[in-house]
Amino acid sequence: MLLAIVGQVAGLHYLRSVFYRMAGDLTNAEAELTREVNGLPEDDRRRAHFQEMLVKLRSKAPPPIAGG
Amino acid sequence: MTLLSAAEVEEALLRMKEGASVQIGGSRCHSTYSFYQGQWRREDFDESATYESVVAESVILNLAESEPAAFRDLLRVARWNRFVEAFFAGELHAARALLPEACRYGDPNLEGETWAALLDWPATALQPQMVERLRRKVSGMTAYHLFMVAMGWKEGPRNSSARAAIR
Repeated sequence: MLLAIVGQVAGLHYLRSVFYRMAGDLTNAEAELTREVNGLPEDDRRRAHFQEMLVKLRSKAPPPIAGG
Repeated sequence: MTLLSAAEVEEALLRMKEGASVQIGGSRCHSTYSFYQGQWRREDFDESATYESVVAESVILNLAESEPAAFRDLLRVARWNRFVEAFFAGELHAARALLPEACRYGDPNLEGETWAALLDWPATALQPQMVERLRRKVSGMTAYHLFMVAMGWKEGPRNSSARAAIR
C-alpha cells in the first residue's frame, strides 16, 4: 500500500521489514532490511544502525535450508 | 477552554473507574488522579518524591471543571481505542467508519486525518500534501508510529493490519 502511494523512498524497506518481523516472517524481514541497507549511500548515518539490526535479525532467523 | 457536559464528565469518571488516570502538571512535578480499590486517589510527584492521598469525588468533579482538556483526553482515547480494535482485527471498513467519532475529541498528531486518507485510498486519491506527509514519515522513520498508534502498540503474528501493510 505505502509503496504504491509514496514510491521508492528511503526507509520504506525498513518499515516493511518491521512488519514482516511482527508477522513472524523473519526471512522476508531480513530480505527487506538488506534491501534498505543496500539502497543507502555509503556514508548514510543510518547504515550502521540498520546493519546492527540485520545482525540481530539474522541471529533470530532459522538457519537456511541446505540445498534450498 | 470548552467545559465538559454532565454526560461527558460522567463518562470520564467511568473511564477512570475502569483504570484510566488524569495527570495535571509537568513531567517533574505533577499530580495524578485515579480510582483504585473503591477510592479516588491523588498522587503528587515532585522531583521523584511522591505523596499519596485519598480524595473525595467532589475533588475530581471540580478538577473536571477546571482542567477539562485533561478529562477530554480520556474521552478521545476511549474512542480511538474502538478504532484500534477494528483496525487491529483487520476490519478496515469498520475502522474507517469509526474514525470521525475517534477524532471527535481531537486528533493531536493528525493520525486520524492520515488514516482517513489511507483507508479511503485508492477509491479517493490522496492530496499531494498528504503524499508528501507520508513520504516524510517513511524517510524520517516515523511511519512506524503511525501504524503502531492505529494498532494500539500491539504486535504479533496475529496482527492482521501489520500483514495488510506489507502486501
